[in-house]
Amino acid sequence: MGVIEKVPLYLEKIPGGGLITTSLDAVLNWSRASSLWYLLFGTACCAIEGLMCTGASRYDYDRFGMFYRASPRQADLMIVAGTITNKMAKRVKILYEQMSEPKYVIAMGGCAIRGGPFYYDCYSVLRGIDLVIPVDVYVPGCPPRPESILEGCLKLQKKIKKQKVGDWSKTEKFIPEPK
Amino acid sequence: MTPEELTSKIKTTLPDKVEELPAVTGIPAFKVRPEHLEEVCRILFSDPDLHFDNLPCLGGIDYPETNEIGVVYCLFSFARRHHLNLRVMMPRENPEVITVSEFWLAADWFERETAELFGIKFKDHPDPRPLLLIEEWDEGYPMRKDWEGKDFIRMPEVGQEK
Repeated sequence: MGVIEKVPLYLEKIPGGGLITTSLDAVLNWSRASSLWYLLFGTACCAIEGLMCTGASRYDYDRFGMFYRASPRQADLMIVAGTITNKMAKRVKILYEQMSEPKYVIAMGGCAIRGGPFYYDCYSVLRGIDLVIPVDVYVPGCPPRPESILEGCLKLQKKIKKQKVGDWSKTEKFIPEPK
Repeated sequence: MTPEELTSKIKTTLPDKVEELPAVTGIPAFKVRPEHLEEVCRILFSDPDLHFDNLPCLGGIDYPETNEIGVVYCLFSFARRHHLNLRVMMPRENPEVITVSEFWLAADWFERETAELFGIKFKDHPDPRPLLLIEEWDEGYPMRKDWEGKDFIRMPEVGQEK
């Protein structure tokens, strides 16, 4: 990532360089948004709806170029599908850190957003995955329907298409709330 | 064996070791004192008519009002097709009971869970490590009724929500 981030610095000094940067943005963003490979992991019932059902032929992530990867090194997108317990949160953070930049996160379902039904009277559930890792798109529901999660993925694609060269390492500046 | 036959059979086999409880769910239930538990379980396990060869469930119960904490053993016999519930009650301060994992291996993890969540000590347990909570847990026993942790938010009463 280091080399590509320095490209605008050199290009913008020469006449007409901005045009090249813009075109580079367009090409890179288009290719990123069109091949969002998501990490294959699910922690609760949302995984049935969000990963299995939506990944199967009736709804089919593959229409948007999304496909599962079982290794965090090859994945661009993490769909946090389901309840994250305090014990699991550390593992999710490790998985997130192992993913290569640029990386995106969708928080799927009430549990991943704010603890869901486990908000009260619970000793073990993390109240929102955004206390641990940065989240790009929130998809509410318990669980969300496959249409909702597809809508969330399209929103994420729109977001990716707006970003500029050099924006990607923003996630490194994320400081989670002290737990 | 029908529940009535099972009740009378246990009463004759184990007089003054068990105390009958109301069979709320239709399953015979007995209360056992902690010091008699090993003997009762040995007879339930090895008696050819009772022959309880399976322990589907073991869990803790907590009654702060009467200052009692207990363990419930749900027993089942594949050979004789009958159920039984056993209950052991102890005072809440320093509760201790013998392990039953020498009879039913399934009790091993159940007892680790109960020990971790309720703070009941199982004597002679073969593997007394914590099982479920995070590794650096130091907030006590969360399944006790009066437990309050750092991040614990109690459910507001209906009508009292913010």
